[in-house]
Amino acid sequence: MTELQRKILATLEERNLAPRPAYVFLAKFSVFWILATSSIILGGISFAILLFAISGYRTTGWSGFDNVPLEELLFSIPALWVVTTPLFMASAAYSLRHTRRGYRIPARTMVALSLATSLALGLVLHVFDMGRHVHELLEKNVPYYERLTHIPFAEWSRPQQGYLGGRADRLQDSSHLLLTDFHGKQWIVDISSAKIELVNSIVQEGDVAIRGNETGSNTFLAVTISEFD
Amino acid sequence: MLKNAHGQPTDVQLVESTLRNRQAYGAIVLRYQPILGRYVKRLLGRHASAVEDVLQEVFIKAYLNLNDYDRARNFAPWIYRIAHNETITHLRRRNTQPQTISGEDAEIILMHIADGDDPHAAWQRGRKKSEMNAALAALKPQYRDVLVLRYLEEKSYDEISDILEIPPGTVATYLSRGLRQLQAGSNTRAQKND
Repeated sequence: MTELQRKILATLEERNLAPRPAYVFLAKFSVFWILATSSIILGGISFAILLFAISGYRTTGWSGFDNVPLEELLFSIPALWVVTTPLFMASAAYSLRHTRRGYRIPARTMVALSLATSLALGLVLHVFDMGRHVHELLEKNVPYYERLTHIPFAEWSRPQQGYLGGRADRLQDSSHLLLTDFHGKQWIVDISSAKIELVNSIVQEGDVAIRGNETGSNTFLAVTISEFD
Repeated sequence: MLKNAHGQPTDVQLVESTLRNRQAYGAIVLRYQPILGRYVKRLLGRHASAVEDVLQEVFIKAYLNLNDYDRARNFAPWIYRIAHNETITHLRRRNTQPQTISGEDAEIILMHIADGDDPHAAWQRGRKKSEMNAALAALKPQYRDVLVLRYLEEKSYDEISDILEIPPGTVATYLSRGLRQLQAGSNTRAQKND
């Protein structure tokens, strides 16, 4: 037995040392995997909300408003999600790097991988309208959320200027739509002469954007009806 | 029981025996003491007197973390990584950098630089020996680490990747940059001396 062997075995005996249990290491690496997975999912959701906001503005803004200034267009992209999307992606890359074999993948590849996964997930979530659902959920439950995001509800809450948006509740008859605007006010919209630019039927569409003229305190004459997002 | 090429228990078997019986750890210490001792000594340089203290720390730490060792991988890179990290920690505590490489070790690296890329390799080797230590001392630590592991410890790119926890592609990059820098450095010094 060498001197070092003797010393080490004696130290182990004296201090009664034992190997750390396997679950400690399992937990350590699980934490990084959980963090990486949740970061990718949150990055995907962030991106889906971004897409929801941008596509909402594209269909309702660019095609709906006259002379939309560039600042308005830029402002329509929710800053909160512009910041969080790359943050979640960076967090995913960092966490993956700290998994057991994560060091073998170059940092650039890791970032590209996290980015691609989050973007792909965001696209899928957007197709299933998850961006809007999460946005609405946050809006209802998180104070100040609306201030940090800017989806053009306000632009479509100007009936006196000819812009009315909201949820299409039901058809009162073949010419009149009952609509609840983004402030919860109920409207009767005359759609008899409106140009309807929707894929689904009006009540299946959910939120719609209407251009036209206010004809009373809760009545509106529609000229065009398009989808809100 | 499975044996390795020398008819001895494999590293994985020794690890499993140790997890059942602490005394079995002596066999791992015996197997890795000379290899790690040489490696740690190379990293410590002029602080080589601390080899035994560092090795003791390495083996205690390895024992405590035995369950972290992935049985599907080689044991050697895993324990080398602990040795590398412990030595760097030791040097940091002493507020010093990993040291330059000894004259004999420098010659081995020098042979890798000269061979194959210069028709006057032997003549160059003879001329450069004196400049080698200075050039090695000027190398970036990450290049020096890779050169030592590749040419002195004779580790594969994959093993170096596991020891230093960097991608295998980065190992190749550091190796080629290290060699280039070393060659450029020793040439400059040789020209100054001529």
